[in-house]
Amino acid sequence: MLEILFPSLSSIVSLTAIGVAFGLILSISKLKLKVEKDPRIEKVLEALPGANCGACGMPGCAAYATRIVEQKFEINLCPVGGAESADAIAEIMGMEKTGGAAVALKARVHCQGGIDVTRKKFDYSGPMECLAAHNLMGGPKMCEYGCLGFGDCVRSCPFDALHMDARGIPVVDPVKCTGCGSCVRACPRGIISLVDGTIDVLVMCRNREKGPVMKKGCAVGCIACKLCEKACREVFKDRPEIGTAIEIRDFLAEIDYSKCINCFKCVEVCPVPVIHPIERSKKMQKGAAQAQAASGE
Amino acid sequence: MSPTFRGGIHPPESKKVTEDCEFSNLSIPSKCFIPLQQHTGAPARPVVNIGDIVTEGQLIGASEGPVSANVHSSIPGKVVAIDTVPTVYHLQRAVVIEMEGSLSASASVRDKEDWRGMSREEIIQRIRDAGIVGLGGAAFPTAVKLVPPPDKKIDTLIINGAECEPYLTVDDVLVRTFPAEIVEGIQITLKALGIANAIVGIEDNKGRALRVLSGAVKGAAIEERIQVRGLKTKYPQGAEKQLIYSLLRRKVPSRGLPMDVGVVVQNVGTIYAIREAVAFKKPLFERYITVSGDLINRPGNYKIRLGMTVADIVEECGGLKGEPEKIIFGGPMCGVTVHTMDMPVVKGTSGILFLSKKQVSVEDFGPCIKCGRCVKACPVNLMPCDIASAVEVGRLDLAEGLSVFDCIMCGSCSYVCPSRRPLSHFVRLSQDRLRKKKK
Repeated sequence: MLEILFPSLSSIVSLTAIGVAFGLILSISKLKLKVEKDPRIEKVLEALPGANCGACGMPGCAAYATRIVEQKFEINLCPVGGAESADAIAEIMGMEKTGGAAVALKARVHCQGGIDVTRKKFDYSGPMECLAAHNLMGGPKMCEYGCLGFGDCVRSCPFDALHMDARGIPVVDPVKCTGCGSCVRACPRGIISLVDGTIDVLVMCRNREKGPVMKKGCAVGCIACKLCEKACREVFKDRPEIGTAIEIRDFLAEIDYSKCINCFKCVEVCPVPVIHPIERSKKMQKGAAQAQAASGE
Repeated sequence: MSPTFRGGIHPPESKKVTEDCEFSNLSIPSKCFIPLQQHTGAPARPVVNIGDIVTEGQLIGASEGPVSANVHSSIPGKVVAIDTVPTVYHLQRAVVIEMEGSLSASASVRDKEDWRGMSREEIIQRIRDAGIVGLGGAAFPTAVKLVPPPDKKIDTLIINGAECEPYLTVDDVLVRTFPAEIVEGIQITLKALGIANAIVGIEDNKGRALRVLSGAVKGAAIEERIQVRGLKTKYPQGAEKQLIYSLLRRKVPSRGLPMDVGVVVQNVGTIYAIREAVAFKKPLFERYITVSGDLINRPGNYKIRLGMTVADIVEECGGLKGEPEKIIFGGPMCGVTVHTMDMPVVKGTSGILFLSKKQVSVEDFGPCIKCGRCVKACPVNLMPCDIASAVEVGRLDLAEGLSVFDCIMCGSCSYVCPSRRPLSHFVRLSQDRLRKKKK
């Protein structure tokens, strides 16, 4: 009877014995090789947004949490969580609440050369990615500095804050953008940068060629006429220590955001216009007024 | 059976067009755009100013850094600008020279100097001064190649006369026209390397070149051991690593250089230029190229001045029969498609092809159908299909394990793909992405 129920008693006994032995080894090693882990790491990780975007400079949220607890890293490095998560972490770590990073940075696109205003130098039929196109003779557009429009930045955004508009230029949604910098790293042309979110003035060009060379490929690039620089010097006329916040370097206007006071004087004088927001430039306003007058007639 | 390697493809040779064309000189252009970067490595530093009068062969760009090459003026004249021009290496600074004065260097025949009396260093210095780079296409500075690091022992010099690219015939005609000069060039290069073994590899579809060169080697009473060997006609037979494997059965390690297996490879065109530089002190300011394709009126093999633009060459060669779909610098497999007729010819340009719509496939690519033809064709045993699919969906981690950096960019995979996928471009993209990630 017993033999029918258990045809091989020895195998049952030996397997049980092996199981018990391994079980003992595992439980002993769990006690002996226990790794002490700070429970605060888990809590800090919960306080972080969990986007794993890398904006703090660490490979992901878990790495940042570990370093906050173990190596006493700054707690306000996460631009995504901002003040909220910094305060939560401060509470966990028993530190003083300091709020988020001083300035909320937003991604800004420095190009307005969509397909309607730029010229192509050849037809491209390779992989539809900016990096692939950029490394093939500088991309299909005449301008070797501007946006290629294949959307590497859009794909890289973990927060769905970037979208291609109809002209093939990425548009940043300032509400969704957390300033993590994924798009800045993804763009092979370096036309996206992180700019103080409170400042609206922005040079929408990255072309460092002379005006006539640039004009061959794009109708809306910086022509380096220096009108913006002159206007800005006028603003800071009685503060010679500042001089100017916008300056032409290598045939391209560049704004020093530590000096810019958001006065829109450079925007108004730009003849192209290439300084954002272009609606405020005199040329655009004049055009709009004319259009209105024409429609009124 | 001629020696060869695994994989590879057999594109239509299309060499009949220019095979029998003897070399002829194109007339000297009135304006030259001479880029300061015509080689792999750092661009040269301009040593002339706007308004300077230069003579033929005068140094206009000095080599900058360890891997770089001198650049010389190819016409006598006046420097009118130092400007950015489109070249096959993206936008580059170039010295623009307008023809003025007389052609002194080419008119007077210099006496040949006795190179056997020179020391190794002297020979290499002359090669360096002349700005010689690899004329097969990659344009790596030759002087750098001839001075390997002391821990690498070189025993064999391989002369690349395979010319596996379709259409191109310049090396073939060069060997047939100047066999004795090539043999002398090989001897000079051997002396510069301090070795005595050389093998010339030529594909067996160029029977005449093989016979002529073998005869020249036998005819010259020389102490060096120079062999001439036929290779199977297959693309990419002329790729450095494939050539070494075919001739010596030595495998260059992954991401290694030929010098790791004791070999230096030089193109026959480079060998010819080395002889001119060492024996006649002539800098590299002109080269032989093949002008071919179905749209050019007078295809052929021509001697041209570097810095001549495509537009000038077209005019000299009788114009075009129609609007070209593609203009390619180099061969159709490895060459660079250019987008403007203002592109100047540089040292690494072995040919210019003008192809009509019939010869070019411009189609949108489809998805991978997993047929495995690219795997079969790949001469370095990669799996281009898997690499491309991984990159397409953004899985760099998968691509990383597929040895993407071993790719030699021969384009065999793209050629055989029935789905017209730009596989080699995808592999290049994976390399770029991985490099960017490591930064």
